[in-house]
Amino acid sequence: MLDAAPLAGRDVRHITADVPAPASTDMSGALNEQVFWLTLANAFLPPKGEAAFAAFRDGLPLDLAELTGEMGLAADAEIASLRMGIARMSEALELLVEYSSLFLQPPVPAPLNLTRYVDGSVNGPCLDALENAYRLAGIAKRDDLRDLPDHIAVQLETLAVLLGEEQPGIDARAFANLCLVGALPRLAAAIAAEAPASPYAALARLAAKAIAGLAEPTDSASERRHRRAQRRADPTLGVWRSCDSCGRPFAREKEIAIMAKALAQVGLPAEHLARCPDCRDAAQGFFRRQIK
Amino acid sequence: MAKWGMVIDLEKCVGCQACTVACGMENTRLPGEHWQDVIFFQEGEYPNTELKWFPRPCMHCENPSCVAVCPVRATYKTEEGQVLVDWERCIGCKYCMIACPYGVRFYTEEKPRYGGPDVKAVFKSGDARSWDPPWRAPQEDWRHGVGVQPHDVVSKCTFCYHRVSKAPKGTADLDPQNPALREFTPACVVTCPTGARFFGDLSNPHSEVNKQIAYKNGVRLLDHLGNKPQVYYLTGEGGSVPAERASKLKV
Repeated sequence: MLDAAPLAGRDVRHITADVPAPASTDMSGALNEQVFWLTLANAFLPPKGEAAFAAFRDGLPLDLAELTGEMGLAADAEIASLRMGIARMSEALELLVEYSSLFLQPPVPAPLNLTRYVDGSVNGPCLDALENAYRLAGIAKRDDLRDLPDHIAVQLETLAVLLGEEQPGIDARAFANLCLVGALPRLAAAIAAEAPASPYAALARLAAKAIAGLAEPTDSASERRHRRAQRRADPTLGVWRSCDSCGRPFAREKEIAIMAKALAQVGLPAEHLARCPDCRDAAQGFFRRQIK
Repeated sequence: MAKWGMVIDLEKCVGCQACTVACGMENTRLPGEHWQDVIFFQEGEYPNTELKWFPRPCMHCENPSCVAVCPVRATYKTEEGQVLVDWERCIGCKYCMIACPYGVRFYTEEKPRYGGPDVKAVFKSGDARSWDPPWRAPQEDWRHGVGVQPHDVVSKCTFCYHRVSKAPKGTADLDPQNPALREFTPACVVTCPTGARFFGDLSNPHSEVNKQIAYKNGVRLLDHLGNKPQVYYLTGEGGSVPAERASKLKV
């Protein structure tokens, strides 16, 4: 449940472990996506008790089928896998054991702390970025959620909250691209490697498929290369060394210093760095004949 | 393990630039991007001047400046002595071009020097290659700087790595007159009409290159810099790289 409480002049919403299940799916299309992410956030919490198991078995596939249908997301295969996965379980304990073996029991095969898939470790820069995003969004983790703020349920619930706000502190798409876009496909792969028939494998695949819609278009390799080359040649950036012969800037002073140091380390001179490569031949009286 | 080196007899070289053209064809070079060029200069004072020349491929130095400055280890030296560029790693920073005292490296995105149209624009590439030449040599090995290069990298003479690396082990000399070895010999050596070039194993005391260096007093360009080139020039009486040119820094 999201709690609103004034703190330092602004509302701070508290994200809890008890993510509310959607009361009704009879709602406008704009809310469907929000409810979809809240539902998934709920599904990735530990399934404690018979009620959670019953909701997982009976309600979750139906709700997801309806929500993805409204959203226009083709997820029939994932929902069918979810149904098959949960159908082989007869009691709540089985689902809890499955959850524990995948997400809790060391060595954890598929951790739900998603920054591990991005940073390769806990408490990395991605977690810092997430905490900053929570601060910008005015969202805080409630004390009774005993996990790190990069837990999948926290992130998905936050995403749902941001999607429902008219002027969020951080754009929902930007938030998704901090961690979820990169991590969810890897979570799905990790679960599939460990337990491909698990209902959680289907859920993770569905989440990965849905989050792809929020992925920011990345620049193509050629665009990145072009931008990098432009920055490298930008004479307004840094202090440039001008050629002793032609006076044209040809490298930054910092780069020349790095090169001179590298050459000195292997016993090579660096006097020739005073001229640009184009002027060195002429300085020695050399010239080329053009081949036409 | 061989240590490949080249000897260029400047008494035989006529400056015809057949080597330049053969290299361009063999390695699918852009027009004007001559990995192997012939450098001209004038000796003497007017009116007693003389036009001279010498071919200048990459020197494949034992102690290369380019390798020392490369920030991403894209430029490297193989066990057989070639200095190569890994186009998969190269970021196009041009440090190697600035640090190389011999001026034998080329940046892909530079404008053509030969005065003609920009063939990269004429033959645009639809893939990762920087251009799509109407004809190109079949070999392609970006880890060793062979083939049509991608955008934003530095390229250079490879001592025809794609040929030399397939030579039988223990070969002392890659003599283009020997039909069994011709296909493993660098294109410039094969095509030289006057036979001014020799290519062989510098670590083998019985190789022809070592004999030529010893008997004809081979010199290395800008030898005092300490790069220890693996390209030697035989200057003889009328050679075009005089000893002082090879040993005194004028830059």
